[in-house]
Amino acid sequence: MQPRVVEGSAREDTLVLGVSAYYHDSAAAIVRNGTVLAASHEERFSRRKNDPRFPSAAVAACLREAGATLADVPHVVYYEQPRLKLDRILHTLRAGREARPLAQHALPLWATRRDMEGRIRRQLGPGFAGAVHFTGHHLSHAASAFYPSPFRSAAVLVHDAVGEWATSSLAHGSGSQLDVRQEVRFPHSLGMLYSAFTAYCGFRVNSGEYKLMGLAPYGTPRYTETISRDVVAIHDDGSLTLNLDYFPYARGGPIRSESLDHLLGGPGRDPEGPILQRHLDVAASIQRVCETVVVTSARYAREVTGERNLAMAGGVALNCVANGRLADAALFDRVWVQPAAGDAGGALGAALAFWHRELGRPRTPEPADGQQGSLLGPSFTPDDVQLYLDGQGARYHTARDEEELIERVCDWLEQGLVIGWFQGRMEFGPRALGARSIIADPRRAEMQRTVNTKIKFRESFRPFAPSVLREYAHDPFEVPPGADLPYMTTTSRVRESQRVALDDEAVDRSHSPDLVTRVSVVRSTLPAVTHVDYSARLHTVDPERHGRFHRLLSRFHGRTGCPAVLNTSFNVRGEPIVHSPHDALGCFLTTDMDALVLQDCLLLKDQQPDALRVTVGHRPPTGAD
Amino acid sequence: MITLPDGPPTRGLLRGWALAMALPAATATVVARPHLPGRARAAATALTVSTLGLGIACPTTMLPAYRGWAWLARRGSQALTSYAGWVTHVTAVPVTGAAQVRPPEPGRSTWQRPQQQPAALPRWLSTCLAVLGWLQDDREPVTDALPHDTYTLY
Repeated sequence: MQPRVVEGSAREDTLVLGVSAYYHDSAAAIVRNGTVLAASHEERFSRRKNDPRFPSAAVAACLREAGATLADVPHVVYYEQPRLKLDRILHTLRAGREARPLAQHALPLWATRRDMEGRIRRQLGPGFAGAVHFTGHHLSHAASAFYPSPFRSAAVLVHDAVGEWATSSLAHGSGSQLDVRQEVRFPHSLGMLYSAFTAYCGFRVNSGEYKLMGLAPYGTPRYTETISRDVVAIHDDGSLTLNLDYFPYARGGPIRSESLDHLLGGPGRDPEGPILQRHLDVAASIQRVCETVVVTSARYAREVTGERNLAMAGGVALNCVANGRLADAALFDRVWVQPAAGDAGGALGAALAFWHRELGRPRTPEPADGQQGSLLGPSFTPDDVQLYLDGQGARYHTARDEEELIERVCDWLEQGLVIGWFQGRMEFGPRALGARSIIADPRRAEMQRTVNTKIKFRESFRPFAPSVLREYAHDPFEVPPGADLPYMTTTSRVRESQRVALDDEAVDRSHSPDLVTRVSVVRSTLPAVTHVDYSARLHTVDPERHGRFHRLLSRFHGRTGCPAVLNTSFNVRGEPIVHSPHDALGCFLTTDMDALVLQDCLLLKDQQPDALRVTVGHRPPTGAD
Repeated sequence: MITLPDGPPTRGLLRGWALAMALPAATATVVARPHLPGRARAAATALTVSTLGLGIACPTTMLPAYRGWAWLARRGSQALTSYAGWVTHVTAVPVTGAAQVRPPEPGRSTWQRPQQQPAALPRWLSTCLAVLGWLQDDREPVTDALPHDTYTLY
């Protein structure tokens, strides 16, 4: 797309609606005159994890936030080029007999997508009379990274599995200009490489990659050399070449071949099977390879663009351990990662790319950033919440003011309760950032196990993140004073001064084959948020973005001296993060969560009537097929 | 697995009849291309024969068994899909600007200039996709739950 001014675009208050859909995790975002008004994942409304369907509910939510109707929207932008994607699929089909399953699945799908503009218009309905535009998949990612960033100019790096053809992209952003300069193309893909190893370790591709990342610290990267020698060639400029003998997906086949299993010393893990030391070592090895590619390609981006700032997006940018390694390498003065770095963020990028590149509108970067804490989803008023709770017959107490609410929640935290925290606008992106969070006291060693097994119903080897006051984050963690890390996109390490010396028993337990035993070893003054390698996914909380959540942490800090709380997403395994009071109450009732804070309303589990658990707690998922 | 939309029997009958009519038309388009290799002609011939068989078989199952008819239509759609995939392979769809699906020489950078838009689809493939899309009522087909290690590249 070349910058140009579209006729009629000079009018004030131009709304641009971005849409990503039909692959996984569809989303919508709306921008007014270049300012992001709202963005949401469809899954939060449909309650279907990574919902790929057209984001009708997300579009409606965005319009509500914008106070507009579809008739007010002159431009809808789809986040990729369908024809170019079909081109890649057809090319893959030529590869041979292995492509037959791909043909059986892909062609019927693409039969319904041959007229994407018409399809989008039909989904939007007769209320929409504007124009439908298309942008590139990686351009959408790059735009989602650069335009909301605080940088006037920056190098932009995108790594994901695949869009149309591109799997990695290098772009340069300056003012309102954004030019994709180079790309690595399918089938050579860092995202696909990582996903293949995700599958090997028994996790679902395209959603379980973060579990592999969480598994890596338990292992020894003893396969790194083997992978670098036989599986992937990493070039000096950070591009890569896969050995396609190990990756039949390039020919329309499965994501990995049996020969890869042989190379790694045995078959892949069954999804419900035990995690062996070999799997841990494979996870550690591929994580190391991923970090190498990210750092090397970032160095190349620096050389090509000459920029001192870096913006990143694409699914691989959610690998916060690799981002931490990049920060350690100090290649750039500042690095900003789009918090919705996956395909959902493409909706936001598509809208912003159209506004700045197609309409040629200027851009003024915000000093903090333009992402607004990524709190871009719908909110509910205290009246909405009370009306809902009354209708359900829930027993609750309404705090007379914020002072009382915060005091009560601090009491609960100190008593060791696990609390559902539901406040303000919902997050955009996969991380809970203090709006739809489960919080607890991170000083309690048992919290990691409790929250994992009784509330999240998931593998308990995975660490939780600390939400920590920005002004005190440098005390427990190795970050500079005032470090602004509001999106949980990077890892830091717990300071030596906060670490606890391990006695003989703890050393034995830290080498146990049982990962639950290993992770339960007390390693720091914040054991519930410290991983086995002393890393932590930091989320800094500041008064400008986080308001009430910041005041809660400040009070907790004042009472206990601890500037952090354990923060995990408000959902259970396999479900999207809660969106509404209804979802939150259902999650609260169906888990062992102790308390729930819905805006100004405070609920305790043991005070709820049994009938409520039946009517709300065991509800069928809404909108699920 | 394709799931055809539910609907009144008359609609299903109409769709199946259109399928029986459209497939020979599509294959005739393929056969009419004089430069096609022998394998493609063979495939087109097989397709024509099978679809004619489908066309003959359809009326016999029209009444009263709608379920049988739906099954036949579904099988026809699957067969078309398979044939389309295979024919796509053997006729080497001309695509432009596409990367070769083979590894570059070791040690060479794989950074490239950004991809441009490809040429238009071949007409016969557009026809096939249009027929399939119409059969599915332009709705996304429901796909079975995929195994954990399957990456959908489409």
